[in-house]
Amino acid sequence: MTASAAISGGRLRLPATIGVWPLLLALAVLLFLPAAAIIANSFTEPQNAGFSNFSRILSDPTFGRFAYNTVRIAVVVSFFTGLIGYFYAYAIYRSGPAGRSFLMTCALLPLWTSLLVRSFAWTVILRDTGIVNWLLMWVGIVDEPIGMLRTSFAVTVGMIQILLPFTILPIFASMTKFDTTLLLAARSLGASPRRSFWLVFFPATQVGLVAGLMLVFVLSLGYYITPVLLGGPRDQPVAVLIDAQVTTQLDWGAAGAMSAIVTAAVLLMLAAGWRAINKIFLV
Amino acid sequence: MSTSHQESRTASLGRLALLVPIVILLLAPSLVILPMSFSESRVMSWPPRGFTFDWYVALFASGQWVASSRHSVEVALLSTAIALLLGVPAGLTLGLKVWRWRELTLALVVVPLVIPTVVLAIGMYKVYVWLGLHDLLGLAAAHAMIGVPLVVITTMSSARQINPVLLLAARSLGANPFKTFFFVTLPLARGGVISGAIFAFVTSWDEVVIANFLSSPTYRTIPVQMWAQITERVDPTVAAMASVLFVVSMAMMAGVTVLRWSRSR
Repeated sequence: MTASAAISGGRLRLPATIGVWPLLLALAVLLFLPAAAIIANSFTEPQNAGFSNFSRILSDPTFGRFAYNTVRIAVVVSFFTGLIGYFYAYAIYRSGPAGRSFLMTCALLPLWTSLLVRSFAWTVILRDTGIVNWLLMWVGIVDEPIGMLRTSFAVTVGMIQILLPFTILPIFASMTKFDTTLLLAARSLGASPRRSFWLVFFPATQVGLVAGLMLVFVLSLGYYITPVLLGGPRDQPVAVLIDAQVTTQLDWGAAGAMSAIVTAAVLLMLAAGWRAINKIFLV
Repeated sequence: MSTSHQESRTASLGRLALLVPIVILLLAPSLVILPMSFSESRVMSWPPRGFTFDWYVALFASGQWVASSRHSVEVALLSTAIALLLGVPAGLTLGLKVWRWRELTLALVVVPLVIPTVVLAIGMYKVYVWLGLHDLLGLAAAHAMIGVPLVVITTMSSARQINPVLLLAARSLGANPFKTFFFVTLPLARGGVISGAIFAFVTSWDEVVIANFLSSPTYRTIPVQMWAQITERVDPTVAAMASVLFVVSMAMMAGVTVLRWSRSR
């Protein structure tokens, strides 16, 4: 930076970081101001509300139930995307060139398909007259369709499918950076394949897993479309409740307080996982 | 030796047995939509019955769907342009320069990706009215803000691969900062810029929650129109629309793959 500053002898001297200022200004006005305005509503609607919206929400069993749903789904989805994602990334890593590009395409394809289209597709797959029930009845496992749509199962499967690329890709990225001579060293020092996997390979690729899990957890806290289309009444997250406060209850104070709580949770999680996310995605 | 070989073979067979269901899980939603859109049955039950283009005919004959396609294209193009104008300089700066607040700046740029879209949507609904932003301008501004982090990240990672000596060389040969930027830095980072542009486009093209709040009934985008239809009454025109979206995004994915492949050769 000092080098480029020394060379620039022209009359017009722009600060070296000029490139980020228009973006930060635009984000401040068009994104952070709206987010701040809705959170500020929790203190200003009704006038001089203070913390009354927060105490009202936190003692409201409805909010408690929706918050529990949100966290429950986020934990279950993170667990399975982590487990399946690690296994799948490892399979890509161990495959030959052809297998690698096939598995990679399968992992990327969902990212290219619209979220709305995929959630809608799951409703077609899981409905009573859908393909899963048709298969189950054709094989003869069940005689009549099992109701799978509008259940926790449907939301979980849908969200796992939608969020799986977010664990596969960072884990695979961390595996490609792994120095394979370390494994040879572990083996030549007498470690069994299993031991060298868990003591050498897994710790070295953990950062990708952590980055992926953080991302999935944080993203699933804000999910809206998939739970509405696939979930039952007991699977609706806080995002749905916030929407309802604004569109049907017209209770901006409550919406603001809920938004503040969810946003704070998301930012705390992001801060906790920042090192891993920074290392995998941003370097 | 032979036992270890056999071991690895059973291990790879076991891996395959676990991989097949995962691959099915990943691909299933993409594979059912197309057959359903050609089915004669109104209720979209499996297996599809008969073969008909009726739903596509209904789709293209419907003024609503045609108008929302036009709105979606307008919003996606304008928001991608805004995201590029703001995101490319920022990505290059973050990739090429080191300063005290670099990591904080990066964090501020990434945050929009994780704030729940419902929170952003109702906030924007409120604030954009004061700013006079609605329909095309409002949607494009909002979508640019959630698409721009992706442009910054892809541009930044391309910029990090640039050898800074090249930029110094351009300057020492007499190019001013603007010339250096347009004729040296930007072409060197074009891979990241192009993928960022595609990500930003797709983000806008697909976005429902914010669009639902910022669009008026006369300015609906495809996802808003689809959402309204799915939540009211599902009929196979939705499957036809979903298929069109699917084919468009597959074509884009293929385009990017070919582009990358031809460049790597």
